[in-house]
Amino acid sequence: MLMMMRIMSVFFVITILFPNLVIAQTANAKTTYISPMRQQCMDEMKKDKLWLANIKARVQSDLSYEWQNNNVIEAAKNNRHVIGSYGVIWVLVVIFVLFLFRRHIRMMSELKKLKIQFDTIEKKLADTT
Amino acid sequence: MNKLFNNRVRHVLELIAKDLRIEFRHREVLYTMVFFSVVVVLVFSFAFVREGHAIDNVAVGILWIAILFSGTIGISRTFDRERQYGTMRALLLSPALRSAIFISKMVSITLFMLLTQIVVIPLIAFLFDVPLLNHLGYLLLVIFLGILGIATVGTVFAAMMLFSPSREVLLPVVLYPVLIPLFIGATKATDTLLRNPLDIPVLYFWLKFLCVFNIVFLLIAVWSFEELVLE
Amino acid sequence: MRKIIVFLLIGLCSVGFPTTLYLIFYKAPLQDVLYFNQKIFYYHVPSAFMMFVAIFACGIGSVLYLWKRNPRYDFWAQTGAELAVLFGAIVLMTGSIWGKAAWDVWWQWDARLTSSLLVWVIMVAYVFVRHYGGIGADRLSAGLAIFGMIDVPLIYVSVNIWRTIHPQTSVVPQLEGMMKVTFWISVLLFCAFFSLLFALTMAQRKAMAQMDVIRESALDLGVIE
Repeated sequence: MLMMMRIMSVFFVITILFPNLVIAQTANAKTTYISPMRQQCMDEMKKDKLWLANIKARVQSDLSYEWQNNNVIEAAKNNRHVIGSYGVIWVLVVIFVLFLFRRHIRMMSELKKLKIQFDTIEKKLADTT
Repeated sequence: MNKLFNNRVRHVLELIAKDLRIEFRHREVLYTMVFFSVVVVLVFSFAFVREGHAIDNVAVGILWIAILFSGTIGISRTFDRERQYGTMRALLLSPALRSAIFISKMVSITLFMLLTQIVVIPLIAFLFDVPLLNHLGYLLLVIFLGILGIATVGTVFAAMMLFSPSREVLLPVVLYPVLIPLFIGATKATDTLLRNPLDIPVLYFWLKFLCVFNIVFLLIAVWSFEELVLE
Repeated sequence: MRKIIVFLLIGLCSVGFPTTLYLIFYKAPLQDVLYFNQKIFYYHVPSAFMMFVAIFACGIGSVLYLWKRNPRYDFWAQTGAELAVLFGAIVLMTGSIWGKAAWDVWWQWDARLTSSLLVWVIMVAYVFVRHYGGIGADRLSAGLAIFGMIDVPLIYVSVNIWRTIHPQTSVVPQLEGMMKVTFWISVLLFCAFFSLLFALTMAQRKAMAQMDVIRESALDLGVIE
């Protein structure tokens, strides 16, 4: 009997509360507006990369035109990309020169080994004759 | 002069007949190529299916990737028998011109690739639900031109890599960058075939491009085959 | 004679690099669209020129090698390919950093970028084939270089039509005044640098070839095994 009363009370609570929850949600939904053009705009932005880049540049603070026009000195000194690219050039040239250097070292060591071989054979020939 | 030309043509035809006869005895290369292209199509289907159906506009790319990959394994096997049994030397010593050897190998691999497309094209039209078979004549022309290009460049590189130790790996490395314009042309041409009002000028531009590619590389291959393959 | 040229080139480069850096950062005026980041282009465009010179050297060397079978042409082709890989890597990486600075995208599939990428990939394939190809590698790579060179106009046409709607990437404006001077001095510097690297790599390759000859004769004589 007690069990049945518990179940009945739970059931009662759910049936009273649930419609209220649903009504509350739809009421909330009516107050905030979600534009039906969202998906379309996002698709268009994905297709037109330059527009997306422009919007991003406006939103970000350090590359947008207004920001740069108003803050010329800071913009003029914005040098991460320049340092990055000159650094990349430097690193690549160093890697190439290292590569040439390693080949040189390998060749020199092989030359030295051959020289030693030739010297021993020459000495042997000089000894025998 | 006429007799010389007849001789050359006869050499080419005899070499083609030899290759086809050997191949159709066991049909090993053909069956493995067909199976491999089916497997490639399946793998790409699993890669590109979202929520139960394929993403749009991938079918043409998958078709040409399947053609390219199965063609690569066929091409790398073209000279296998020659290398394994040492018959390349016999071929080179024979009175046949080097370019005759090249043309015969190219024709046989083209034939094998075309035969695999009998299975692959309906499979893709079926799995990806694209109207690929609508303009069958143009489709066959595009497929033929694309496969011819792949076969031409591939046979030259496979012949050059005959005795090279890492030929299996190097063939795709060397072949694919050179074939990219052909790939672009073939996929764009096949793409136009899927539209319902057939965009004739665009299709004809890409067909002409494919023809130019094929003619240029065929000429270069025939001219330079003598120099490139010595042994 | 060769030593004189190499030392002259070293002198030119060691003078040229500080001079260009000074000119770029202190003398050339700030451009009004990208401000400071525009200065990347003073090293990016000459590298692109040099990449095309190297590719040209590789192609011509391969054709001459297949025709005349003189090993010197083969050395040209190999050196050209290695330098094309170096300068191509420089161009692509600085170009993509430039693209990030200017348009906030690391890469875009437009005609010029894609064509350079493809040609660079063909040169990387050349270097791989040379290294791992075994005995017939010289002919194979020469064939690859020839096919690659013939392919370049086809690549350009196909990629151009493939990307019919592309944003304008040639931001090389009408240079004037100090920018023009700086730019052309950078080009000269890169020519000197390229020639220096070319001369050094050629010399090393010739020495390696002579080393191979010595090694072969030593093996034949039974001196080493």
